[in-house]
This record gives sequence, structure tokens and C-alpha cells, in this order.
Amino acid sequence: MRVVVTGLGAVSSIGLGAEAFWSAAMTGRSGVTALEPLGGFPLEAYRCRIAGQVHGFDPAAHLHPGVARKVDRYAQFALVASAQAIDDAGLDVAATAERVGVYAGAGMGGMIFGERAYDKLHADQRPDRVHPRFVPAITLNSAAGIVGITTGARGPNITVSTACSSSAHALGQALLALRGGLADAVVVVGAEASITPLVFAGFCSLRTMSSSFEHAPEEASRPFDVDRDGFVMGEGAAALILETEAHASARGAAPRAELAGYAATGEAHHMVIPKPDGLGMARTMRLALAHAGVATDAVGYVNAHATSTPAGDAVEARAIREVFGSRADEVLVSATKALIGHTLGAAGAFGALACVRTLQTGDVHPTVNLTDPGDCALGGLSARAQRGEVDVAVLNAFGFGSNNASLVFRRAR
Amino acid sequence: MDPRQQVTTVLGRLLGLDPASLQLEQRLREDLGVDSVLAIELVYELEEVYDRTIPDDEIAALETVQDVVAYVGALA
Repeated sequence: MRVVVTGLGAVSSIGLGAEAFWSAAMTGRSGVTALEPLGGFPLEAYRCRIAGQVHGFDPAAHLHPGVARKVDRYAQFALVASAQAIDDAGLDVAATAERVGVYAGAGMGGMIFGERAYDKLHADQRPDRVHPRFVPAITLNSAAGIVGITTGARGPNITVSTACSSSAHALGQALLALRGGLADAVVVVGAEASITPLVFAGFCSLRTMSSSFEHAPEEASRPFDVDRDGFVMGEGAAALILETEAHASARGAAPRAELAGYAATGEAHHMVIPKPDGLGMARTMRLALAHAGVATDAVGYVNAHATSTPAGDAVEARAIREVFGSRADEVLVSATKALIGHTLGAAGAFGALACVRTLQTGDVHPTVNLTDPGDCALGGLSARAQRGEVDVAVLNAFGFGSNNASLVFRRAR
Repeated sequence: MDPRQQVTTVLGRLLGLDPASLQLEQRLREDLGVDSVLAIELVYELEEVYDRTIPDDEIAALETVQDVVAYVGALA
């Protein structure tokens, strides 16, 4: 059974809406800027002082205030991106509400709400004064929940949380659900808003974020470049409407692309560090291609997970070389995190959005800041926009906890 | 802030409505859609303002905006 993508939505640091995101991506615009002050702490207290924040997002401009106040920023992003995607797809959720699902990917959940409540608890020493909305706002499925409630979608309502690969697995799980007959259409959304005093500090402590580009924030996220020194935390949401081809065709919706295959594997290696040989990532890509029934030679584009960390990018470049062999320098490759930083649980959905647009247009967005790939050299990587006849695109997403996802998208047929 | 203004401000924010649009005779549940969780939030917010503990059963007995205003007026 074919599953197609019929709608896109995005709330990103480089634009509101999928088209704004994509046109900014194609011009190589960076959403990374100096970090806004966090929680009243001096910025000097943070090792990393840059981020890909969504500036000027006004929930009141998009959401009913009675809804917006109930949920965390990440769920607000999810609501807006989902509504855009539903609108873009022309999907009438109410018409077949019981057959429309919501699959969300989020790595951290409602941390803004959570941290504030925790601060207040300790400041006031009043366990009896914890806000009643605290629990429903911080739970990791609050975005999927509020999207279901506001859209009326009454099919499966599922959240996938696998750290940085969350929304890639959400897309994969939605694909399986559609093929398994659990739904006819699914709103898939990846959302994250964890640039918070505590989470940001935690990633600083882990030494996973860039700390050498304070003078030039837009140059900090540099996947596959020799001078990369860690990821840049981003935030936002990307949404895609997946439908069975039959459902899309019956309502006259034009497929933008096909989601053809998915693979999920575990590395069983380390909570944070990827296994250096890259064989687990390579196995995941091969399994996803086999699931899609697509030959490796048919792949024209890889949207890399590449977060701009010294260890991770080199391993992924090795894995891409392992999978594509003699064609490893021909396959076009780009890393969306070069533009918007690492949006953690939302990253897979943003990469998926790029795959769909590349399949539609033949345009591949630039991997900005790539000046010297060093040990990550791949012929299809470029700091400039590229063009190619792309029939098949592979999306990679890898997460803390030693988990991998790969997805295979095909041009709409 | 007088009790009426206080109650409509809190209620307006919880419901996402203009406080000025709230009428004293409106019923919390039937007219304004105040469900049991919203009622708990209303109690929470008023307790924050008045620094008092409001028993759940006392709030459950209040039916209209006017009832809440009168209750809060007695607290203040």
C-alpha cells in the first residue's frame, strides 16, 4: 500500500510556514543568532551562547488564548504547524475524524512549564501551590493530545520520544499504522522548544554544543566541516500529512511525494556517542531501502542527520560511504541543521520536509558553512544550493540512547 | 482590584475571553464551559490572589459568575 505526503507545515527560525522555510533554506539563510537571556542568568554562565530560536512567535496570533495558555511552547508550535499542514493538504478532518490519526515526535516535552513549576515549588516551599496545569502541560504527549483535541482527529493519538530521532520515528510509525489499517490519514508533527535555563545548561554540561562561534553565530552550525565543534540548539515544529494513496486520490488531493520505507534499529552501544564504525547507521539505511523496495542505486539525495558534532558527522559520512560505495560521491547530500540548528525531536520532520521539497523540485538546499569537509568528504555535499534529478531521497535520524531511524521518500508517481 | 474585576480578569484569562464580555448572571458550567479542571484552576488562581485556601466543596457549590464574585468578596 502506498502512503503519500499531501500537506506540509512549519514553524521555524527561518520562516513561518513550509514555503517560507523552504525558500529561506534554499538561499542558505541561517536561523542561528545570539542566545536570548535564559531564566535571568547571565549569558556568561553558559558555555554555549547561541541558538536557533523562533523569534517573534506570538501564540495569540494563531491560537485561541484559552487553548494557547494551557500548553507549553512546543505544543503551541505543534498546533500551528499541524494546522498549516492540514490546510495545505485540504484535509477535512471532521469528514472522517475516526480515521485520522495524530503522530507526534518530541524529545523533551513541556520543559518551559516544567522548569517554572519546579522553580516555584522550591522558591515558595509550597507543594500545595503547584499549578494544576503542570502535569498535563509537561507530559510528552501533550502536543499530540492538543492537536487531536483542536482538530477533532479521533484516530490513533500517539507520541514517539526517541530523543533526536523522535519525529523520524513518528513518521515511520505513522507509515506502519497507515499500512496496517489503523488510519487513512495521519497528521505527523515533530515539535521542540527546549531552549530553557535547565535543558540548555544540561546540553552545555554534556559538551555537545558549539562554543567557539559566539562572534559569528550563523557560522556555528557547520555539519561535516572540519571546524565543527558541536551542535547548535534549535526549536520549532514541522508537520506533514500522510495518507494512503487511495484516501488522497478519493478526495482529489495531489501527492507531493511518497513515504515508501522505514527502518528502526538500536546500536546497543552508548547513551550519547555513536558507534564509530557507522555500520549500524549503514544497516538502518539499507533496511529502509529494502522496506521501500528501492535499489540503493536509485537514491539521488540523502538528508543527513549531521548535527555538527565532531564525532557524529564523521560516523555518518562513513556510513553513507559504506552504503553507496562507488556512488558515494555522486549522491547529493545536505544537512538541514546547518540552517536551523538541531531542533532535537523536531529535526526528523524538518528533514522530511526538505526531502519532499527536493523530490518535488530537484532543488537541494545548501549545507552552509561547509568550507572543508576533511574526514567527512563526500562528493555530493556542498555549501551551495544544488540541483539534480532526484527520484528517491533517504532521511537519517539518530538519537541518544543508541537508536537509529532511516526513511525513504520517493517522487510522487 | 475589586472582587468583580478580579474574578472576571482571572476567568477571562482562563477561558481566553475578554473579561469585559463576562456577565454576572452567566453560569460557570453551562454558559462558560468551566469544566472540573478549569474550576480547579479558578480556585488555584484565586487562592494565589487572596492567599487563602478555598475548600473544593465550597467552589463546587458556586454556580454563576456572581456567586464567585460574592464568595471572593466575603474572603477579601
